[in-house]
Amino acid sequence: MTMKKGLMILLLIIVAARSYAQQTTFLDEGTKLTDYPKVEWLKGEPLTTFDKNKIYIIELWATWCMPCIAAMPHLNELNNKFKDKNVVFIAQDVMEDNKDKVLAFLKQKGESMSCAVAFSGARGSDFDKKWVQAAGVNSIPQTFVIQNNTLLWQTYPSLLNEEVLQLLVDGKFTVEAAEALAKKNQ
Amino acid sequence: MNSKTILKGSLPLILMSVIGSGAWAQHAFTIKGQLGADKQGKIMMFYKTGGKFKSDTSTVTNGAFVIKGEVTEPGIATMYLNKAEKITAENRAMVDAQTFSLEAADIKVSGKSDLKSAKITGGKSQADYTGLMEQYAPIQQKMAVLGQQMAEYKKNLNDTAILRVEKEFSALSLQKKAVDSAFIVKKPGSYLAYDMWQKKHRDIIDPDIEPEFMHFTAAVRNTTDGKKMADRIAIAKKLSAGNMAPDFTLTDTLGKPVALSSFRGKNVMLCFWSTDFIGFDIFTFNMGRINRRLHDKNFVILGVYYNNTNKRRDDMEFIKSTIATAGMNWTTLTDLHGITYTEGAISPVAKAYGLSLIELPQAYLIGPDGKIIARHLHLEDKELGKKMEGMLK
Repeated sequence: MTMKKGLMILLLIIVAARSYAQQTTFLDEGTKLTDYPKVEWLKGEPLTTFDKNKIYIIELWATWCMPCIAAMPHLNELNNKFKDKNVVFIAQDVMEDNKDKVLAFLKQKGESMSCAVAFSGARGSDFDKKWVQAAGVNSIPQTFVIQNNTLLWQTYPSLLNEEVLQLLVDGKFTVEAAEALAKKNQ
Repeated sequence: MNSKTILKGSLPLILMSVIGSGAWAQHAFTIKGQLGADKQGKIMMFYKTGGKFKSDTSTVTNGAFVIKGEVTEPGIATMYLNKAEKITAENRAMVDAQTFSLEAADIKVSGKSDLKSAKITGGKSQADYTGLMEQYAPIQQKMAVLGQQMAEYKKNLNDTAILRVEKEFSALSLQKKAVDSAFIVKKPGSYLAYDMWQKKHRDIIDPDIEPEFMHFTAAVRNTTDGKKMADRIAIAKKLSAGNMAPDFTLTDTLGKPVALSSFRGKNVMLCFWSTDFIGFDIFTFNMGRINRRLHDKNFVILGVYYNNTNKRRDDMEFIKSTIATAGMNWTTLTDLHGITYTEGAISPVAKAYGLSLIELPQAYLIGPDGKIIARHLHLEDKELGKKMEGMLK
């Protein structure tokens, strides 16, 4: 387990030196969320307002982030299994400004990319301010779990699995239970 | 011994540390060398003794040389034959050098050609060192191969292969760590083993490392470094959960004196910090997150700022603007020049909490009664606030 954990940490790409601009809004576990920031939807159904009755899995990634790309098949697999159970999966591109590169990546992946994909733009974009900086995202991939208009869990793709999603679907999710499952599976 | 591999590895650098001790008597060493008869010029040797860097030089005539000197305790040394002024990427391959363990003994360097392929013997510590290097050699050879593969894969942007190589590299690193651990366990009287163990505990320690420390012989524990570690363990014990947190009074950024005990009745997260470490942003964000989560639960954060040796860092305007931009909207006290890299803890507060610059940031959770609830809080853990919530009194 220790070894796997070590690997997981290795796989996170640390984004160096965030600027010291003072933050005024924050996104913590427990924060209420109504609107999705302004982004450009490249695939799937656009989302502007969170539905109280739906579960949202939002994964932050970039085309330059190898561990993010390595986590994609897993995300799509979960999407295929849970999309009919009121779970919405979004692959949210962050921390890059070249949309063409993202589009080329999607074209290359084709149908294997089954979830919705959005492009946020680089630093200073609406999503960057309201999510990336507000949640202190210094590395990607990272995964945000939202249910009942509340950010429940800020985590990593490797900790998300079918059992955790089932907890959400059954309305039994707690971070403690999810972490216990992740530990068990590692 | 595979000296080429050793020089490529980072081990000599890691091991280049103060093993020396002023309290110990100086002991003489003599190094007699015989390399290939065609070798002429100069041998230079770099080492540390009594906490200070030293270098010796000797003439090489027809491959023969002698170096005499004194060391307090065994330590790592590197010899160079006709060392270039500057080692660059271009001449690196030409460098003729070897790293070994130097101690007060008759040491023999014997070879038929260059220095790097010569055999260095003499002294118990060198026997330990060569034994360790022999164990490293196969692992380092595999690492070198992976390094070449990695360069190739990165050129071709072969993502899956890169991930695979990274995994193999991690596995080899673990193997190397296992070699170190076994060496440390098997050599309780070895200065080299102690030094390797000590390197693992440069950051904040917990009292539970004491059995590992006691495993070393009294001679090793009574070196300057050993005594320092004994002190650190004693302080860590004093600062364990259930004990009173040592009280102190320092001034805030406006110059007003504030005592830790003035927060009695509240849970206090006492955080000693500085600005100069990797991950400062992660640290400040996490502290803010903890504050947002717990500020209305009879909880306060009390920061104590230390400047490092960089002069500008003791400027009050710099400190104030750092606090403002990082959004640390809680009380910050300053203990300027309370710790230095060379002398460690100087001020009463730094001494009471056994602080060194390398151990910052570090934090305690103190209960309303002034007793320590938890020490060594994991400040990089984004779940820390949640974990602390369950510990509040």
